Amino acid sequence: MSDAQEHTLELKDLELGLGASAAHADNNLVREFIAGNEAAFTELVTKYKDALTNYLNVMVGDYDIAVDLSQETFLRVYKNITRYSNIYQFSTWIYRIATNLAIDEMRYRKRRGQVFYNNIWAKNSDREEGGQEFEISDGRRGPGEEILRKESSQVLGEAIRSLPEKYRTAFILKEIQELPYERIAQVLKCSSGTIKSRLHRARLFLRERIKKYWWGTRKPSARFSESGKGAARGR
Amino acid sequence: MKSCKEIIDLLSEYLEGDLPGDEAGAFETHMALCPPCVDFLENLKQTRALVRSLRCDEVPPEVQRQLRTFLDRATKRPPKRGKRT
Repeated sequence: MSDAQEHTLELKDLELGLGASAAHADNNLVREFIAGNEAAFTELVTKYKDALTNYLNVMVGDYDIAVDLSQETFLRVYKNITRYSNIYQFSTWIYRIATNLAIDEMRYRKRRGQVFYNNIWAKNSDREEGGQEFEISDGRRGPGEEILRKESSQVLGEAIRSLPEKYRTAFILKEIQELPYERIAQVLKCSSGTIKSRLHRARLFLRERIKKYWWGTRKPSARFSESGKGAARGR
Repeated sequence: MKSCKEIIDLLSEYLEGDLPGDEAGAFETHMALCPPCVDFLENLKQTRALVRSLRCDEVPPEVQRQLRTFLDRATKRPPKRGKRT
């Protein structure tokens, strides 16, 4: 790596204000791998496998397919590692590859009329049985609560995947993967402002889709009951 | 005072803590006087809480093995040819 490239990398890290040492560690692993150290690649896989598989699972809604896409992502990293440009963080690059694969897969399924709502919730539902997940500060208690939670989770999953592609991707990267705006903008090749706008619309859309699970029998304000409709339109 | 529509447009920034001081003040003034907007905000927070329950899990051990096996096979380099004896 040239001095200029190193400098660019450092500036990017400072600019984004996040995980500079983590990014540096990733780039060290990339360098080692390119130099022939296969263990460095294994380390990268170990580091990103959970986050990446989870991301793909929420994107496509089918865990088996998510695992396949995760494998394919790592394989592409392996084969194309010399094409990685360190003006972006390694994680930005790997998320971009995964996002493109997920989008291709969803488009393929859509063309074939297949829908992904299989088992995205299976893992969480299993854990929910143990009372670990979906602790929502709701306040309501009652015999139907568990059913309501599962149902709302199902509806939420479907709602996320019913978001237009550009909103869905931005939403998952922010709310589930917890990437900062700047990184999402790099992954999706658009501005931070656009990401914020998409995220806001996605939130309103999802809220609208699942609001009945929060309000229960309480009637929402008429003023806002339709406000989420069409929220996912726009840029 | 800001309208309800203006408040809705600011909700995400408010949730992210990105509203500048004067905007945050106007937002909170509106909220103090508008129960429907409070409901809306609470509803949005609850939706976020549910979404966050989907955050990263470790992949199960069998999937880790599957991934390792796949990558081992897919990235296996052909053995170097040695001299035939």
